[in-house]
Amino acid sequence: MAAFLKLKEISKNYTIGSKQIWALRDLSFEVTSGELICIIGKSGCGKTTLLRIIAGLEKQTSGEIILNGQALKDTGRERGMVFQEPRLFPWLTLEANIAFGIRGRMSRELEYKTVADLMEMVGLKGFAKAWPSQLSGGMAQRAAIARALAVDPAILLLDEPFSALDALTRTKLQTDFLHLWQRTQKTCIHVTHDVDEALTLGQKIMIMHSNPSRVGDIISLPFPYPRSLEDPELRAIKQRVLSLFIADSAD
Amino acid sequence: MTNVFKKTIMALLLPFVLVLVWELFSQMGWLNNYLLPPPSGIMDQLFALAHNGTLLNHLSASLYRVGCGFGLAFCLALPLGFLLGLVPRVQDYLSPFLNFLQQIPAIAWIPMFILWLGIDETSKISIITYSGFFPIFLNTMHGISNTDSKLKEVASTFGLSPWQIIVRVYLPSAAPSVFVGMRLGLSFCWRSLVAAELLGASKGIGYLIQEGRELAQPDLMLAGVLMIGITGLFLDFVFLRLEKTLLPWRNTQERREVPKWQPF
Ligand SMILES: Nc1ncnc2c1ncn2[C@@H]1O[C@H](COP(=O)(O)OP(=O)(O)OP(=O)(O)O)[C@@H](O)[C@H]1O
Ligand SMILES: [Mg+2]
Repeated sequence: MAAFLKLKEISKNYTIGSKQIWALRDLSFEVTSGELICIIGKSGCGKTTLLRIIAGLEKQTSGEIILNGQALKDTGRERGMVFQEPRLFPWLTLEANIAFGIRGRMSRELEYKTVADLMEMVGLKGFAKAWPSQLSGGMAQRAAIARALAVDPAILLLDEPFSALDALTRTKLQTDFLHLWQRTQKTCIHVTHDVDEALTLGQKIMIMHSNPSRVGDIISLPFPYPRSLEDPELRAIKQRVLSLFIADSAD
Repeated sequence: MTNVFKKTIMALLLPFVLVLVWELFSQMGWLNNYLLPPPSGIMDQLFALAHNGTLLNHLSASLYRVGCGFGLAFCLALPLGFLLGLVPRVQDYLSPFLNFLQQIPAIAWIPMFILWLGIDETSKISIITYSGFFPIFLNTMHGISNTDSKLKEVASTFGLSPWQIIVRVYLPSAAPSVFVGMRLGLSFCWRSLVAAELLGASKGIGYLIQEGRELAQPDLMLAGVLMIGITGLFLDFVFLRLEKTLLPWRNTQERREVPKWQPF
């Protein structure tokens, strides 16, 4: 399939004090339509920076991003972002939070229906009138995913969305997210530092190296869902990913 | 409902005990009735004033001044606080000057205001406006400039224009702060009222106190003081209720402390 999102030699440097540091260096990769790709890498290797550049929240120092044949600049509704924290608007109820991106862009009835469907889909039915401060971390993160999906983006960017949750909730949300993705067939870039999460979700795993930050190996995972991490093939891949990680930490 | 009832009882307990002890001591003749008239005497005075209509007359004159002064302060402070809150780094230029003004109590300005604006309503309302301006202005400015940039980012990923971000993110995010500023502002307006009225007024609660002094009637003075306290409390209560209805999401969150601005 043709490349849907194309990153060409993206570089980003930051000035910290008088020092120049490269958060990303000549990073290139491609994502095809409908693909769920997991990016893993150790802390500080530039994963967040990469997603923020794709989302348009940060400007790359050099390089080009092409989505659907068009060069991207600035933020846009065709790219949905789910941040590490839920970032819900505290002054809006749960349903109003989910409706944030579509408010005023469609009829009230359609908006109401979209929000109700999404709440059902992410498992928040019955909490329409709750305030964000009344939600648990997992519920808030579900709401954040629903809010990003409401505008029907072409691509969903997720920055370690489950990392702040306890293990049980995380597993539950991973499963639910997988169903959601199978239902919507959205192109997703899912950043994580959890190897198990990447193996559970990804059709592809991209390993990011640090110093300088670059694309390391891309591993395909042509396994059906739901997956068991006890599967010998997956276990072998996990070993490989971990050894690549260790090699990265060494230098 | 029982909770509200319990809270009211708890709030009234201390004043009740104080008044009871005070009245008791007066009845026993342990207090000088001229220097400290008994609560019953003050109540008699209040009822008499209420009965012949003077109380309402004075109170409405005072409320009118505070209404005008606060309204004016609000109309000036809100847009200004808003604009300056949106401009980054403007606080570096403003803070020292505002700090300087903060050291000057409203009473210190009274003679100058009278010189500039005459002795009638204009100068009184100006004093009240001055007292109310800063808390509203500062809290609005802080509210706007402290808008969480993480939420601004969320809004911009949805492709909102700068104007939409102002209306849909900055405004609601600053609203609690604006409310705090308004509550403080109103309270400061009310407090500075008496200072403004002590100088050359012919009606108003401040004038009532002044009259009590001239007629050597401590019960009249204390009745005036009591009225100021009660009305202030009532206005604050109204504002708190208003905040609860207009910002329902705040009820589920813990409240944070706000910077205070002391005019006196
Ligand atoms: N605004 C910034 N100013 C300066 N340097 C920055 C900025 N943002 C990120 N960096 C630097 O860029 C590098 C990559 O940061 P980034 O947040 O993308 O890492 P990450 O892979 O997301 O890490 P983590 O897994 O801990 O979230 C870091 O070395 C960081 O110091
Ligand atoms: Mg990160």
